[in-house]
Order: sequence, then structure tokens, then C-alpha cells
Amino acid sequence: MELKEFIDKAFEKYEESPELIDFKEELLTNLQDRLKSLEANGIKRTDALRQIQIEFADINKIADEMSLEKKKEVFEMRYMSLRNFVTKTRAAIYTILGVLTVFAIIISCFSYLFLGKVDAVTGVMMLFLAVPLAGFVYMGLTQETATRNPMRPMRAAIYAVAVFVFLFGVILVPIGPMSTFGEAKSLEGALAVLIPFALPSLGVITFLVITEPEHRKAWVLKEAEKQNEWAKNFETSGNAQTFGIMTAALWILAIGAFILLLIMKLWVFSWIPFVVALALMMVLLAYYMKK
Amino acid sequence: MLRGHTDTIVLASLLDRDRYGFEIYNRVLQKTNHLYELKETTLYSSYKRLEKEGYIESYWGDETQGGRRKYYHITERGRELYRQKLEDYEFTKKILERLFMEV
Repeated sequence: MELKEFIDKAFEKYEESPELIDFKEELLTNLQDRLKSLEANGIKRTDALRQIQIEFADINKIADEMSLEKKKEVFEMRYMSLRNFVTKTRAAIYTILGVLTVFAIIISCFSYLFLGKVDAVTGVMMLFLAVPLAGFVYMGLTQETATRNPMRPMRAAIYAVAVFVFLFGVILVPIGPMSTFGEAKSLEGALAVLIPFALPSLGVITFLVITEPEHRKAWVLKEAEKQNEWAKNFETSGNAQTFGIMTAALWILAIGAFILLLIMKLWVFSWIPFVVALALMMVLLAYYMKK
Repeated sequence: MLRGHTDTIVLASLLDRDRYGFEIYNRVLQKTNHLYELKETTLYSSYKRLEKEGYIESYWGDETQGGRRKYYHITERGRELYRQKLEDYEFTKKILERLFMEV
């Protein structure tokens, strides 16, 4: 067995890391020189090779050490994941946003307690909630962690604005022109207020999510690849297709039930089909994964 | 007893000039007239350890033919460690000389 082959074989079970590639190259040149010098001393090439291979029978000890260190590193990185990436400025912004959120919640609670009902005051105060929440969205998306690269500021800002518009719409519902609280709650009124805000913002968010590039870091992707092999087995087994069709049917039924409930003006119960569908989907997933 | 001094042997090999793995290994053979052979695996663990602690540094040579060689260079910290080890050794030698002898 030639040296290169011997080295490759000795390390074949180890994950290729830059460190290991380095080490293999170092080892190869050193052993080539060693081989030359043994040959120069009159030892036959085959004997010299055998001698080296016997001596290096325990070479994997070093690779073990290296991969152990690497494991430790990855382990530490996971648990330190935020410590190194939250700068002082970011920490300050997070704190301010947190304070604003709590402030908004407290003010809302107070107005509710004093006025006895959720009315315009609460609604206006809730606006203060939408700003810090959108801020959190922006900060969260642009936050680098051990496992994720930050999103570009522009993209994150669009997300934040969409979230703000959506929340604004939601908050407007109780104080909207057509459905003042206390009156009979009218679905049409609520939808009329919600739709102009919710629909465009949900559309924007959906578009962004679908076109989202990969943010996970290289080492995470490598780990994920290992998991993927399992997923591939699931996909090729045909169970995935069956599962997909069943799920689609389930959701069509759920949406149908939802619309039916709306038409019957039973919109208080309209959320139930979705919960049931989600639960059934999980059961299906568990069933097909077991197969 | 000798194995415990691998790190110091490596440091001593780098005092006069930078060397790569095989040179360090060979130097041990030559200096001891083949009486003592340091296992190369032991040496590699030693390089890794010393480099991690900042006693030596490594760099790739610019060989044009064949594979590149990885050279090791002793740092100031490494020289300091070497001096300290040498002192320790001289003290141990003095004590053992007195204690190992019959009279």
C-alpha cells in the first residue's frame, strides 16, 4: 500500500475538516522523506513501507484528539450562541424595545381597568405595542448567531414594516369605524378594517418567506446534511407522497368547514377546523414516519 | 522517563532554526546515534499541544515540487518554556545523581 493510500485509509472514518486536511498533507510529506531516508539506508521499499505502517498503526489517536476538540468547539458554540454576537448597542436596543413593550401592555391594562372596557384609549395605546414588536422583528432578523448569518437590513426592514402594518390592522379592529366595541360584533365590520392592512402585509411576508435565501452557517448546513439522508429515505419510500396527498385533503376539508361556519355566522367556532386539521396532520406524520 | 520530555526535545530542536516534522524526528535519531527513537505519533501530539499553547508556530514551506512541508518555529514564549525546563532538568539531574548512587 502506498503512503497516500495508507493515510487516506487511516482517516477515512473522520470528517474532513480543514485541520485534518492540513494534517494529512503534513503527514504525507514527512513520511515521504522518511521513506526516502530508509531507502537510502539500503532498506527495501516494501519493507520500509511496512515498517512505517506498523509504527503508524495508532495514528488515528491524533485524529481522535482533533475530532474530539472539534466536537467540543461545536458544543461550546451552540451554548455560547448569543454571547459573542449581541453587541452593546444591540443589547441596549433590545432593552429599550422590551421596556416599550411592557410599557404598552401596562398602559393598556390600566386603561382597561379604569375605563372598564377595551375602547379607543386601549386601541391607541396598543399602537405603541406594534412599534416595539416590529422593532423586535427587525432586530431578531438582523441578529447574527453561532448558527445563522444575519439577514440584510433592507429585507429585514420590509419584514418589520409588514409586521407593523399587520399589527396596526389587527389593533384597529376593536376601534374601527364600523365596529365599535360594546356594539354587536360584526364580522363584516371587522374584516373591512382588517383586510386592507392584513392582506397586503401577509402577501409581502409570504413573498419574502418564499424567496428567503439560506441564512444558516456552513457548519450547520453540514450537520443538516447528515439529517437529510434520513429524510431522503422517507421521501423515496413513497410514504412522503401519500402523506402529502392526505395532508392536502385534510386542509381542503378544514378550509371548507371554516367557510361553512362563516356562512352560518358561527365564526366564534371557525378556528376549530384548523386546530383539528393540524392535530390530524401530526398524527398522520407520526404514522407514516413509523412506516 | 524520556517520553515525558518530548515537548522539551521538540523545543530544543527548533532553537537554532525552523524545522519540519521529519527533520525533528531525524535529529533525534542522529543525535542519539539511533539509540533512542521518538515515535512520530508522539511527536505530532506534541506539535499540536505546543502550537495550541503558543510555544511554537507553524507555516507551510514553499516547495515547488512534491507536497508542501509544514515548518515549525519556536516563539519567545517557547524559548522561555525551554529555559525553564532546562533548569528543572538540571536540578532533577543533580538530585538524582546524588540519590541513585550507592554511596
